[in-house]
Amino acid sequence: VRTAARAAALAALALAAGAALNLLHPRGVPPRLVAAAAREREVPWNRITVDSARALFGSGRAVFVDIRERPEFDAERVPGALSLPFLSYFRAPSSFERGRDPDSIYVVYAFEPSRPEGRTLLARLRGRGFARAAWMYGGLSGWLERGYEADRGPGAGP
Amino acid sequence: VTGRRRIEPVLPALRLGFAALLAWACADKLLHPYAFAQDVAGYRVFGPALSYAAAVFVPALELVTAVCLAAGVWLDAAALLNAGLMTAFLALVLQAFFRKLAIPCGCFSVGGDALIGPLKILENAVFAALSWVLVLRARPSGRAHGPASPRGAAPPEA
Repeated sequence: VRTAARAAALAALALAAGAALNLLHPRGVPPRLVAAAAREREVPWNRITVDSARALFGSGRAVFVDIRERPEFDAERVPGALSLPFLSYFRAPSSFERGRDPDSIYVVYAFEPSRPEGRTLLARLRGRGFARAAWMYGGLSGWLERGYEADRGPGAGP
Repeated sequence: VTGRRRIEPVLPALRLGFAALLAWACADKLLHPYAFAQDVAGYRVFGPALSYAAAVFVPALELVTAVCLAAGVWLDAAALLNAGLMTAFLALVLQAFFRKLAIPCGCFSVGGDALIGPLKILENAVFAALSWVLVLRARPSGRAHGPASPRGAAPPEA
């Protein structure tokens, strides 16, 4: 019993130390990311095809949001897309959300057709009132495969 | 010389060896918690939220256990936590292998390890077995070695 109690105390100490180290870590896991991930199954996984996204792009009715890290974004992206690296968004969501119209259509994508982070980010955005945010199923890879246009070089942040 | 006696001189080395192993294992995970969360998610046992939480908690638990094993503090509890960790790692690696998941182990570095295979299972099985030897020989008084019970001691002379 004493051994188990000591083990529980050490585990509690580790839990507190882990949380503290993570908060101090510049590249730690943001608590709001854990919260969004816990809720993501309650939120419909709103996806659109690459071709539907291209139609929205042509009509100019959608804002494209790229969740990859900045070097990948700068290398190649949907023209006019905003850079919103996944972790950066969860560290400072207001830098993206502030002053942005929640009724606009936001097409979120990465390079891959589907990524777990996409669902987490969509859950957060939709939970924050961005009800028309959608994941571009097919990703930038699908976009480029179809020969759709792309921008290269430094692009816009949020 | 009994088997129990033969193993006694090895126990301090085993304790310090596990301390070094855990310290080494937690270093990269503490530096890259988000990348470690991706490794944890790859096992497809935990949901995304629990994967993030585990990525924060497990390296801290490894660190606390390593410090206790190295310093000789609460050895019984530290040995128990060490065995729990090693057994859990073995179970995770085994299930990934039998589910044919082509994922990095994430055991000692994030994202860069070789894929899980028979050698990784053998490595984890050896660690798990040795960790339980340490549990069975660690005394609640905090000693990692010494007579296991009064049964092995000579009766006091009258």
